Amino acid sequence: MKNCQQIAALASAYADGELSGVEWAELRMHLWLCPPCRKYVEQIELTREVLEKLPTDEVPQEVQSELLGRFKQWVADGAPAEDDPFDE
Amino acid sequence: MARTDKELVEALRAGDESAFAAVVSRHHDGLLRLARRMLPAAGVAEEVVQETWMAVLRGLARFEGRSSLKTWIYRILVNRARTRARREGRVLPFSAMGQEDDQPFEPERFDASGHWKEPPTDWDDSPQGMLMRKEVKAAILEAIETIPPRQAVVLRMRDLEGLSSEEVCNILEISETNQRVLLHRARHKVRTVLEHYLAGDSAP
Ligand SMILES: [Zn+2]
Repeated sequence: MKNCQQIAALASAYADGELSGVEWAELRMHLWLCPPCRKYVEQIELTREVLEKLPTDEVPQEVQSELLGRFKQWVADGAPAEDDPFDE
Repeated sequence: MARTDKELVEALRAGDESAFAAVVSRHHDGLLRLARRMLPAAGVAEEVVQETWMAVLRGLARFEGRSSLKTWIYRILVNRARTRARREGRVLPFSAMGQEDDQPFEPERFDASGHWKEPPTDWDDSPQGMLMRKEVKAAILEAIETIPPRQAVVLRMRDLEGLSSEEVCNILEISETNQRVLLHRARHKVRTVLEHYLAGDSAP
């Protein structure tokens, strides 16, 4: 049987649906019986939701223009391609 | 009226500047913040993100849509960062993973038998409400900047960018278990920040 500390360590995996059937069932049973762990899992889910909604900053104007300049150059060069973009 | 990946890629290949501006404004900030945690030396992350954009353009002809455009761009970024680190005789913070797994989780919150010493208290706000509060939003961002780099990188890719756990493991070349531990420790720290603001009145 897992204690609260071990249950809490698996809260994200549980919230993300990434536990195996056996572990999932054990967590579910524990959460049913243990309000603090249940609250912890709910708050991890809320945290995930906040992170998902966190807005990004706008790109500074000079960076936008610099990149757009490079894009125009790439187009003017006839959109050159590279075999493998994942390597040098 | 957001364009699909396929439409965006076609527009980019056709030289459509508004498509490029849209892709840049959607991803540049996230790429840069991620790169800074992998390559903290001043100015290096900026250079690598610029390189990434050029590599994205030169690689467009080969984009097959097997992953999302976003996932594909992040994969290019991490590979560029790896190459850059190697060239400077360094390695990214991902080559020495593992020690986190063995440590007990958050020991100060639990007693010796693993029971809650300080159980979580109720929160008084919704996610939308939290993000409306400037100081909360700033504190979350600050937390993401200060947690260990491996945790921050996984958190950004999973929760802020919405990549799947499989994609993140592939891109970072880490195991599922490692990824899960890093993600949870990161979320736990952000949760602690939120707790500070949202349970502040009732906390001791
Ligand atoms: Zn419990």
